[in-house]
Amino acid sequence: MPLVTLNSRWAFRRILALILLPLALAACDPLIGAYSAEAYKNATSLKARSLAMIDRSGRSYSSQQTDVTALMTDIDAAYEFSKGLPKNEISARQWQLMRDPDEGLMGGFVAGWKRNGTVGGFFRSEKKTQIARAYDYIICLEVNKQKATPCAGLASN
Amino acid sequence: MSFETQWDAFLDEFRNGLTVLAKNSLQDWKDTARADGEAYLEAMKDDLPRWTKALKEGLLTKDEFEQLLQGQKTLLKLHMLTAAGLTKTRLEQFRVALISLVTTSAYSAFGI
Repeated sequence: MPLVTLNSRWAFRRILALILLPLALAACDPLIGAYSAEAYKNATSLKARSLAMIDRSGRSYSSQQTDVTALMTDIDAAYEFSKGLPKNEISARQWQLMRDPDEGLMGGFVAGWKRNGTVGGFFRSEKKTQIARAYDYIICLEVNKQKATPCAGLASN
Repeated sequence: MSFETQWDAFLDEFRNGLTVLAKNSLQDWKDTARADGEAYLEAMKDDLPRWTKALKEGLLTKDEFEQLLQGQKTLLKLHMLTAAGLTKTRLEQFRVALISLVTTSAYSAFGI
């Protein structure tokens, strides 16, 4: 086989590889959903509202029931929004843990408040720290979908 | 310049870029994951002794104590989920950067 033809074939294969490699990489589905400004806003505003609600849990559940129900409805809405985004299963599972009455975050806290009628001061303070940490995880993941950011820098109780 | 020379220049540029990219993306991620894990343990390590003391002193009811333990368990699940999510975000960012690297290396080597 003539040397020129052989070289041309190698050159052709290399050019083909050069064109196909980025195309193949670009054709893969994203591994995780894109950053959502609305999801970020949901997490930060619900964090503030949840912590404020925990502060009010020294009062009777019945006296706060309307506001608690509205807050939990908004947490449910944040879960549904998150679940509806493509490739967003992990964030949706985070919200599921936050709202589930059988888990130990907002859903569990509200269930306990309802069951006991009121919440003690020491418990209130400790639970507030736990819930703040939980929201920080949700916020951290959302922020990192846009840009690699250390979670520690986002934490605030 | 011959195609062979341009191809070698492309490979050199791509390899150098890949080394920097892998070092920046993956090594940095390894350090971050370790720091996050340690921060989690650090945040939790004093909780149980403090709660046990509060239970004994009557500052916590048994039900509240159990709710705090449940919260701890759920936070661990959340930590693991977040770690898995962050790994995916880093790999996704690596994939996007890799596409860009192939393209810019080709532009540079072949003068496109």
